[in-house]
Amino acid sequence: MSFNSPVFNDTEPLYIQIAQWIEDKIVTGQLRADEQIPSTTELSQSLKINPATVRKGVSILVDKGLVYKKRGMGMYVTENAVANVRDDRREKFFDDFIVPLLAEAKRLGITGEDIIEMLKGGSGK
Amino acid sequence: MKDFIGYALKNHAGLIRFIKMMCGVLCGTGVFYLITLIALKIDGTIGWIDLPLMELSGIVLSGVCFATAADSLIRMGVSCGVSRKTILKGLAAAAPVYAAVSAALTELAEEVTVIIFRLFGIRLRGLGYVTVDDLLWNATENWRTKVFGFCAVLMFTFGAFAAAFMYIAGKTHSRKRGVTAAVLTVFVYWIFSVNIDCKGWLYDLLNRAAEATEPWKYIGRFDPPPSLIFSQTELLTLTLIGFYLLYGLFAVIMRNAPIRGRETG
Amino acid sequence: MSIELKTLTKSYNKKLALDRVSLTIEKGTICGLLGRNGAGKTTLVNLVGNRDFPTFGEVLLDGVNVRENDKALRKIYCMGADDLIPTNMKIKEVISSMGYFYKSSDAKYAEKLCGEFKLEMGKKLSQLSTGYRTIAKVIFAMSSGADYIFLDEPTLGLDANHRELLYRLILERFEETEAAFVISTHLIDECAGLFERCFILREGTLIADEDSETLRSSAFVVDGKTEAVLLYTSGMEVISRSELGTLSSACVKGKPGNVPAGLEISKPSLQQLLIAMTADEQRG
Repeated sequence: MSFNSPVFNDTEPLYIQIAQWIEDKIVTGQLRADEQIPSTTELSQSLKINPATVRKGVSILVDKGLVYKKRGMGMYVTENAVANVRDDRREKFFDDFIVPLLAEAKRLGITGEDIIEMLKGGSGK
Repeated sequence: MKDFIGYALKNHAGLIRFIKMMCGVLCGTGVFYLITLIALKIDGTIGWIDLPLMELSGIVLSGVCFATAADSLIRMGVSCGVSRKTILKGLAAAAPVYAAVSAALTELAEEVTVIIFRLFGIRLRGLGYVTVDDLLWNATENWRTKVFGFCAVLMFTFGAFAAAFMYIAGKTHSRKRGVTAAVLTVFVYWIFSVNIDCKGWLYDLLNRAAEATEPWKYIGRFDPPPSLIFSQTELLTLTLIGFYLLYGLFAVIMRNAPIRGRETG
Repeated sequence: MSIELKTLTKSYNKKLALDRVSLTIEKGTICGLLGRNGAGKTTLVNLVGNRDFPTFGEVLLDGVNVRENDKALRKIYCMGADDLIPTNMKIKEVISSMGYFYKSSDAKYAEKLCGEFKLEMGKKLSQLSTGYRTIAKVIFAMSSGADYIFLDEPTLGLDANHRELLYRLILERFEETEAAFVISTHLIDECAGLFERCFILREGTLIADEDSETLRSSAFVVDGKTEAVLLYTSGMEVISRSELGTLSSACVKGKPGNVPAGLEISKPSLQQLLIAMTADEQRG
């Protein structure tokens, strides 16, 4: 049986998508601090992706300080991983979400005021 | 090469399957003989009977079995990355074993057939050694006769095998070459058959045709020039040489032939 | 440790099935051999496996020509869509036959795979459906213990579950043995993740030899009104174009520069890129 999600899109390199997939799991709490993440072998065979690509993705997480290697045991989520990912994504929030939102709004002729109204209504929920 | 020879001789795809095929085939002809026997007895026949073509069927069929076995061996070899050189050398080394085995089986089948027929009062004549079965029956301890019979069968088996090789070569490489090669095989063995004892089945057949058909009566009997008659041993040696010559031709054709099998996908 | 194809050329009746193909396959990689039907993929695999001989050029394993070379050929296993293995043989017979030639062949592993696919080992190849025959052939390949395993259309006739299983098993075996796998397939999007490197053949010529990620990001797709697209792509290396009424879509090599309004940019999937690169009509 294969995991939900892995219809990886075509926009970003595969190894980056793998890193993000694991990041998502960290942010949503599916993988917690000091918990072991699936091994390269497990990830590779489950997601049907070349292990070299998986390793590349995991090394990005190591560089970002989200994951560390326990000698002889595997890769584990770091203490402040969740916080790190949140900070990281906050920085990207504008580019990842606001910019496309504004572009779409422009296409549809929705004004800034309309958007603010919508936000007020939405954030109340 | 040891691998391939081992494979050809030990494996169920090799010699053992060949033996099974031969036995099946010989039993098949045995049934045919049995039916003939019953028909003859119903007819009330007794005494000498000529069944030259049927006597040779075992040998022809051994050629067919060999072609089937060799074809499987070649394909399996190629699938497993065995070079053509090795396959050809391996087959050359294994072929005599196959020939000896099939000759032994065919000879055994023939003797059994002769004995069974004899039990019912019919004496079979065939292959030119007219009195062999007589000797067989009266002097069964005579090993020379057995060897004699065996050699004769071996000789024709090699012929059948050479034809089998030509067929495989043709099948793999191209129809034209196969036909040429097959014709060549027949031709080479025709030359040899010219030298067989004048009561050889080919001439027997031709002579009977001559006797039976009006216009042929005037042509007369076919008799090979006496100077060309060889003994069975010499003939066997010549056959072996002929066989390996044809094998050489087979090797040349197969050396660079693409062996791909039929595309399914 | 690698297999190198050096200007490998094959012609049949004056037609070039392979035209001076040169590439290297490193041990311990999974590569995709892609291209349309008749592009030359099967021919290439046949030449590597000594089933057919090149008109020109050579196949080298660690510098040694594999042609008619038993020692080198035993490190290679080629699985094809053809019926080269006698179809009246039983699966267990084929596996034991392989043991005569491939010294590291693993009959136990073959048994395990047959179990995973629910394939009866006592059945003859001729008694199997297309899908199961493919599965049997793949099992032979994977249990051969060869260092370089070529799988030509290993997904032929396989249902989705079996395909998933196959990919997992390939990855598993790959990690265990560090063998090289060269896989030709038409189900590119499914397999794209497996390939570290891709080789693309078009009418006998090698048109791409790169690692997957580089290949994927080597092109982009621009959609919009035909005139706008033509204007934008003038001077660019257009791989292929298609039209839908007054709209056009172009697959272009390189990176998109400043994109004017009204045009949409997207990245093609590997399959879409392959289709574009191997399309019949090429306008540049």
